[in-house]
Amino acid sequence: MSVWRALIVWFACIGPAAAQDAVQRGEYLVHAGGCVSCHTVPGGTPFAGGRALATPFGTFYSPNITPDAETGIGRWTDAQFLHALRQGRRPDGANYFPVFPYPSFTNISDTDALAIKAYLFSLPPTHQPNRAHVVAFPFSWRFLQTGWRLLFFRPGPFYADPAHDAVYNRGAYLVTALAHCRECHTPRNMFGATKPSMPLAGTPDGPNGQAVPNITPDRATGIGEWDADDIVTLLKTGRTPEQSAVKGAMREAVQDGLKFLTSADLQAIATYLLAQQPIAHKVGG
Amino acid sequence: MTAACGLAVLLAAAAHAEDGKAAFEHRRDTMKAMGRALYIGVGRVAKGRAEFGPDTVTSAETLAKLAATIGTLFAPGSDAPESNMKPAILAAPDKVAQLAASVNAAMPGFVTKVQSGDRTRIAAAVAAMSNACNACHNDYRKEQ
Repeated sequence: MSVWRALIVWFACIGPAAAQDAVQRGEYLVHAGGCVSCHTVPGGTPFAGGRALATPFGTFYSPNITPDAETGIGRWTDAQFLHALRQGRRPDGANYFPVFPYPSFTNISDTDALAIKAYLFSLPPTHQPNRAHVVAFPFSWRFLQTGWRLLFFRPGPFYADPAHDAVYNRGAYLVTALAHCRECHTPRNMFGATKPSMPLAGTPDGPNGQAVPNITPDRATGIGEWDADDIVTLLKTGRTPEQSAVKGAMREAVQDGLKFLTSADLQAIATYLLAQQPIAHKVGG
Repeated sequence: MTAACGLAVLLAAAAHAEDGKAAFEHRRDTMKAMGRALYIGVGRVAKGRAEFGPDTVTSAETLAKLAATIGTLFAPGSDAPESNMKPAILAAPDKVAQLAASVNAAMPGFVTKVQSGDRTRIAAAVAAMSNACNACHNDYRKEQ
């Protein structure tokens, strides 16, 4: 009997502690993912959505991801949350548009995804109905996304590269999955899919029409003159080694999330970026 | 006739906008190259993050060459929305000339100090040059 009592006490203690750990870990991962930037109107309630995201196909409005049961994700199960991030589908089965970076988030581990959900569900629910996207025909037809997925979507999970060490692979996971760097830093084709031959090579047509720089280690057009400390400093402070400040979406990514990452994770990102194939591609930004 | 005049005005405006964009891009690239030469090429040696060598001197000379063109970088129409430059600078050509002259007057001494290979002297030279650059940036670079 005393053994059962001890077990009950143990479970009573360890359960909430584990949940709290998941929430804290989720908050860290949300910082890495920069979720708040897209899911928050400037000056608005964090994660309540409504942020306009202008693209060549139209303007998308981010959804409410607070745990409000009516207008947010409060009724979502773990499986539905995983399905959204990993497969790019809503709980009702409809396709997301790839403005939601599920082609990167598909590589997030289940453990990390559920920690993110735990954090989001620890926030106060905000009742704020989602705003309809303003997207031109025929891009507004969600079912057409099925074809897009067949052509361009490669489901995860992320697999570590055994040819590289743990630091490189941690960086690969952060860059390609959580922080979804490729979504902004890779040029896109006419269908809005990232060009696989030019990963991280920059684009003149980034978020809201802004140029996004080449972050491959090409010396003339990319970050080949930078070292790992330069990249870590930029991700912590928003300042480039040339002493200019990053702008636009990257400034938000730093301020809202990347600056909170551990030095080890930032070093891992730098290690991965500097190990990539240099691609000569001149863009502004 | 009216239509022809309208078209001519539109074409002239388009050409002006194109010139402005090219001028903006040239300024942006030049500023970036100067920052690279000062803070990476020479600055890393000043901070002890890199060894002094021929490339350090080349960076200082590159900076001097580019700095000599500063006065030409602020062409009318180059105040593109994505520029870090405050448009007010275009209305202050005398101030620009004065600040550019100040940077260029300091440049021979900067190169000489870098050529010395002495890290303390190089660090002082980088700090002084950075201040000279910031004299303009503080007034005319948008809040970042």
